[in-house]
Amino acid sequence: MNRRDLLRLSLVGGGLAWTQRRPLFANPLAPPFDDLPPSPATTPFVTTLPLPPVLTPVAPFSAPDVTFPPQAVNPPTYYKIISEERFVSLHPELPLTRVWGYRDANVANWPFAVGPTIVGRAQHPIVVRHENQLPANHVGFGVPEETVHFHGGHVEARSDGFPEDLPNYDVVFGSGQHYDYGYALLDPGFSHGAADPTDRPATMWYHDHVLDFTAQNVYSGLVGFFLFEDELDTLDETTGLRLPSGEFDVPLALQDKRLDAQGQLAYDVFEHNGFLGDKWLVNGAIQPFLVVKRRKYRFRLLNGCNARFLGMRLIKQGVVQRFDLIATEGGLLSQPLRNRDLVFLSPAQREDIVVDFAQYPAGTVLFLENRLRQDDGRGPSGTFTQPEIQDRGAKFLKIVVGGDAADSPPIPNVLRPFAAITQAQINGATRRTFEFKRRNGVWVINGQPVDLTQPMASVPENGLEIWRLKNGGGGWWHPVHIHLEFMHVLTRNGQTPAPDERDGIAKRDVITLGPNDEVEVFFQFRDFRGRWVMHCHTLEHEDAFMMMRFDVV
Amino acid sequence: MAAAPVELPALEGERARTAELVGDAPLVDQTGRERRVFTELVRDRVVVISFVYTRCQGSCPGTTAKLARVRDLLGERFGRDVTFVTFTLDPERATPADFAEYARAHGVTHGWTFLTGGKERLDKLRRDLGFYDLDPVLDADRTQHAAMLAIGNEPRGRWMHLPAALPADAIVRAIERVAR
Ligand SMILES: [Cu+2]
Repeated sequence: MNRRDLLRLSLVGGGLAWTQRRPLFANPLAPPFDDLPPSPATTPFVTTLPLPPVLTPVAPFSAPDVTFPPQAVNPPTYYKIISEERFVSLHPELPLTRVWGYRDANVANWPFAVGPTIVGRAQHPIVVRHENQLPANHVGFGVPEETVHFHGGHVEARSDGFPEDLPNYDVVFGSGQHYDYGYALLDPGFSHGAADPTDRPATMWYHDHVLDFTAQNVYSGLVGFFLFEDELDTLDETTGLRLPSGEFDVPLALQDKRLDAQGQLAYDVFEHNGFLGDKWLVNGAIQPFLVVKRRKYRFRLLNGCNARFLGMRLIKQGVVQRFDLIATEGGLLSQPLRNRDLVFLSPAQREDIVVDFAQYPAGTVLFLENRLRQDDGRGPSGTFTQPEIQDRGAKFLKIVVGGDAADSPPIPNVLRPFAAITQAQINGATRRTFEFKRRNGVWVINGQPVDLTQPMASVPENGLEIWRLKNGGGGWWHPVHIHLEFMHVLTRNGQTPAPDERDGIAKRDVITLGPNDEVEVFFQFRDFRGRWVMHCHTLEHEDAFMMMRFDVV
Repeated sequence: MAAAPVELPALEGERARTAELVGDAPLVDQTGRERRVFTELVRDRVVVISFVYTRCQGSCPGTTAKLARVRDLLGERFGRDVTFVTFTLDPERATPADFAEYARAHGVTHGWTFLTGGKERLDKLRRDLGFYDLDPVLDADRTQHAAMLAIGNEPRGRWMHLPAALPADAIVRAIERVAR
């Protein structure tokens, strides 16, 4: 049942005035039925895939608020990012679109909607100064106030992007202000002499997290990639695991947007169930294309949508293609999962896949398509284990196979093995339950609306924790994101989880609660005491207070 | 009700959209006066919007009582910098006199307008402002729509929703964030 069905019911019931100016869509792939008119048409695949450059260092500056733990022995590298309003081309047939975005302070003109890619190296601390140059007198959706979340990072609390200022805890910075973030990039467990080099990320991102307005600010464009490198995942295919690197390692930020007749971003500030767009963007361009060489590529897929879940398939002439899955939010898998045919991404999730284009002759055309059906902010049709995957879908990216190139070696059978949680650890863990529910039209966790001035849970540092996350029903999906640590997924609905979220193979930082799902996840919150949040990453749900604070004490 | 056609004021972008959604077709306040909703009660204001029905035994009394506490915490800012608008969920039965009594019971003297009027108008408004449920069974249950507040800063085009069950001081902080 969606808003279209509501319309039908209301028409049967005699008709309501509110339905009259809303268009009807017969096509199941057409935009969702809501208050906004459809975006203007654009010719697909006429623009190349944007590849926002890597953030470049600046001279060291004084950042008195940043303190690194004594275990951080390498000197920090310094960066500056400016958040600004700018006009970028989302598609050559449209006028320039006003967006909010991050840019490298060393680069005067940033023609991308997506911000610079931060590359961090294990054990090498970095300081990022974020300067807010958003327009102070902005009118429209989005607020020119920021707090930047390093999504996937294991960092001190004040650098995590807590959503709200609290007494003696100023983390939100307004137009004209800046904030210095310190990311030590040490291995979790370092402060207890138990640094765990198997607990490292791969593909992360950074984005705004300001209370009540994260959806509007992220939708406006405050998004960038954050990639991690170390001696295994070296970003150099001649060393380490020799994964496809350089031009053959391509981050793909997948987003949906809605545009008005002037090509400007449209958003419905009154639609808090979850915003859906009808334009398919990759790295800030509408339906771009990419010419690839006949060799292996690593694609890092990020679901950067506010509320749309994605079921991405690689399609050649209508036929589903296969690839290897090598990483999730929690970094490289212990082993590649071969011959996959679907990348299921809830909002904020990431998966890295390796596609071997050597199997296709030059001139072959493939499409990266979202085949998942979703009609409104509740989530996709079907269940988490059996989502409704359709026979056709929205083409996000066209891939054209070009000439030959030297290839990287086969993906090894072992990537980054890590120990699964033992029965002894499970037995020793503190258990907590959190139920995410809609009650009287508003979100509650364990029956309560959330107030970030008080922790809902206080968790002892380094203690063992098992959290049972329950979906309270109503047909809603909730992708639950927990800050500070990756989760080991122990069970889903009492069963062993699928390999791409099973402990011992994968870790996650967003766990999807499909309708009526219940998952058990294991944590050890290490190294950093302070205030953290757990929230639904359907951003409109998060902004409507589906978020709780937990303190590590 | 004399529903004279009214010209919507010329506004751009988000503000124009809000003007269209809220509309100026009149509703009747607790004193029996017709009010052009957008122009008189929303335009150029920071406003907290709620929906209740006066006979409600569910979440409505809590929502209105919470708003009364928020009003008290706002002190002299209430009525000057921030106003409240409460719409009925029960247009067939709610009369201005019902709302006058309701307002008296909550100590309302100024800055808080209670509106009733045509069912179609109020149903459309409720849905357009986000006080609806995607599940039609829940949507038909009007007790489902009284637990939320919409907070808007019309000149900024800035709007958000939050649960009315939050502590009053948390709602005040949200109003302050929206009002900035
Ligand atoms: Cu949610």
